Amino acid sequence: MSFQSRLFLAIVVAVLLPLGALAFGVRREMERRLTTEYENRVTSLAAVVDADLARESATIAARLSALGRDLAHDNRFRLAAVQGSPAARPYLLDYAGDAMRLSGLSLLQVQDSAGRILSSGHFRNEFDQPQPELPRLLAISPGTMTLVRTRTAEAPVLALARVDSFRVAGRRFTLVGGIRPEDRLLGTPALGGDLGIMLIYPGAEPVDSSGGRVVREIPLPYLDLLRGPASGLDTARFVVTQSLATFNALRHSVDRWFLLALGLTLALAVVVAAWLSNRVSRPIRELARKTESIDLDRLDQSFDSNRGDEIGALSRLLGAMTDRLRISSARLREAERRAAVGDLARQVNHDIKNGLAPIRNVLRHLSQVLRQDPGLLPGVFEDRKSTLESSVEYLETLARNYARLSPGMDRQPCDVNDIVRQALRNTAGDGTGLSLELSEQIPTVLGDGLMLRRILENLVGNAVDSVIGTPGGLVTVSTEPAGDNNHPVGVRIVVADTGPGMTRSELDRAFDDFYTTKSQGTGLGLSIVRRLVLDLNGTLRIETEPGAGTRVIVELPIAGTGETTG
Amino acid sequence: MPGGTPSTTASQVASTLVLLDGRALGIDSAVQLDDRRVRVRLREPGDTAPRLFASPALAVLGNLASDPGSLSRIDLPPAEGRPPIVYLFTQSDDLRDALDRGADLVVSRDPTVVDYVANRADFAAFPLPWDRTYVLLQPPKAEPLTISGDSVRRTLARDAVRAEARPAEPPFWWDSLSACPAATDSGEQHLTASRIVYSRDDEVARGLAERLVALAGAGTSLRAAALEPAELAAALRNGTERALVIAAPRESLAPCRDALDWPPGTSIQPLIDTRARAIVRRGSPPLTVDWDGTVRVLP
Repeated sequence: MSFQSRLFLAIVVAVLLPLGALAFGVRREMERRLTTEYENRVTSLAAVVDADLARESATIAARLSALGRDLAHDNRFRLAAVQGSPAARPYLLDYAGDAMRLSGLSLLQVQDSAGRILSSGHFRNEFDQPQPELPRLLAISPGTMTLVRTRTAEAPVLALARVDSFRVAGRRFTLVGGIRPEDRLLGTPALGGDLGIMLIYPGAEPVDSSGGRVVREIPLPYLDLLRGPASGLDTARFVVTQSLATFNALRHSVDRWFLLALGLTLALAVVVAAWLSNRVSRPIRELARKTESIDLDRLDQSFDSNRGDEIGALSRLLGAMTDRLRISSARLREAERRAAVGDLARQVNHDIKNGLAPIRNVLRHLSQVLRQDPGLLPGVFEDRKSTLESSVEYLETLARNYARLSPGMDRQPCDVNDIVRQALRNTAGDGTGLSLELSEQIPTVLGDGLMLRRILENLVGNAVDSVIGTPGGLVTVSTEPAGDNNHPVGVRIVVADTGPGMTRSELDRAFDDFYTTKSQGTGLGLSIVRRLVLDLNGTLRIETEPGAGTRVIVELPIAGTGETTG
Repeated sequence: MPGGTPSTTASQVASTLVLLDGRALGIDSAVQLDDRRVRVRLREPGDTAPRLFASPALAVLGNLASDPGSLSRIDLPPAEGRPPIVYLFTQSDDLRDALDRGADLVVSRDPTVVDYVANRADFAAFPLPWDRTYVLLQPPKAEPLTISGDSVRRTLARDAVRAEARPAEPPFWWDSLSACPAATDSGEQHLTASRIVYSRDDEVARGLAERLVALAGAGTSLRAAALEPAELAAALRNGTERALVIAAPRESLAPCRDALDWPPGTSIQPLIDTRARAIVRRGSPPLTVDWDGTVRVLP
């Protein structure tokens, strides 16, 4: 990952992480505060409901007590309920309805001591029906209200009820009165939209407070008369709930805004990070570009910088390093120049030695003839005169070339076989077998005869040196057309020996200057050959294996083609 | 009138006769001869005229009652030998207001009105004939609600309703419906509600329905429900309710016609009879009462 990418990501993360932490913190704090607030509201409302129930209970008790006192003094009630007067019976039947409306109750029932309904306000025509369990069970929990589910002619009715009793003519009568809870509690107008009171009947599933709302429960005795005569009281619950819908909506809204802010911040951070990382990394990239362009031949790159920061310091350091490299490069070039002069001297020495060797051999031969048979000297001299002349000419040409420092190429059609023969004639055999396999089908090549001779003398010399000491050592020089025999594109010259061959590492270094495996060698032979072959637009390759001898293959283009194949 | 014939008293009588008869009591046709005469052809000869001719529906008020809601009073000119009659129209439901406004005659079923004049020396209240019978109708497929014994009917009459009532007493005109032409079944009936329904404006029917619900016990889902008259007629026609409490005329001059709205197979249980009272201001012109309870001023 690039420095710019890392910087980009670091900036983005550095911006997003604090914002994310802020969102998380705000959300959590909001949730904590609102939940606490909701719990306080629910607790307060539950307390209000509790107080309302107590107050309503007291109110109902007071009204029932007042009705009981009035009935105890009511003659028509006495006539109807005690004396059984038919004339007073309508009054008795309608009494509870009238009294219920006047007293603000929702349920009122008068029963005799046997539990038979004498008058019912909420269901006038249930008179004479037995319902003794109602006052009996309501009396189980004196002082408190019981939630009663009973019926009217049209529908069931639910009431918070209490019981009271009074005596007329020594008979005991009971009064059951109540109010509808929805009138006073469930429909409390002060309740907000999210705050509610529910009535949970016995056996109903408990209100789930895990997710969605806060819950407080107020238990209440419960009597259900719709299922027939009841034997006991159950427990119903007023459940005060605070819906978390508003909170959830708020939380979702906050989440949405935070996500929006996060998205906008992310987009902004990306833009800023891209701009900033590009701005920061640009000098570094520039330094890298300048550094990349530096090599020993190009040390003129400027690293000047006015920056006072780390980039400026680095730039100045690189500039100083370049200056040192420039000095070192100059020294190196001087060393190379001196080395080149030395190389040249060694090459001259090598070439002159090659030119002097035939002359020395001829002179030794003439000296030998002079000592052994002076009469043959003129003949032998005449016979070896051409060798002397050839060597002298070679040396003269060599001298002219070196005089020009850069050897010139005198290109003209050359007979390769003829040059091969001249080169072999100048090479001392020293008992080494030399074999020629020259093809007469080869075309002439465009080149410099002297260069060709230098190539061959070097290659044959190396081959002869490699087989010295090798029993049956043989050096074979062959020529053949390169390419198609009918349409040759060049001449292939192969110098093969049966010497020890070369290892891979030796072969890899064979063309290096001054690399030699011979004790008296200069290490320049193959290096010179390669340069000369390349100057003639030819190719050179070596096929060798340790113990299998060496084949040096030179291909030269025929006159007119410029280069060879292969 | 069909064909654009101007409406006249005779034409109204003729059409009313045909409508009331319902082709069940022997009137073959009724044709207007002129403004004052109608020719009635009987399907079979008889010794007496059909009782249908006594129907109050044949009384013609002309344009008098065309729009009574727009009037506060109507003064009828006195006929020969008779006192003038003033009709008072009131928007109040409380007939005590009419008495206090000076009405000489009030016919009411409200015991409160009767009680109002019971101890007043300037009024006298006279019971009129029993003219209504409240019946419990149940569709053929409904689970029967049995009114067992006269004690229940007595209780209904005495305690369940705020009206002058008695247990329903035979004969009942619907007992002879078997002689009527077979009515066509209105179709498949689907009982959907366990309710006893009654007309919303009938307090007596309401008391009866509520008492029947009370007697059914707490363990049942039966309940009472008030319906608008049109809804009540639809419930009776479609048989969608468990039972209906409706008021039927105590006497019927055209039983087949009056029972047309009751689907075939409907169970009919008479509950109570009720009647109204005529409250007459003392010193008013003499009155008489027809067989059906109609109060008429004597000449």
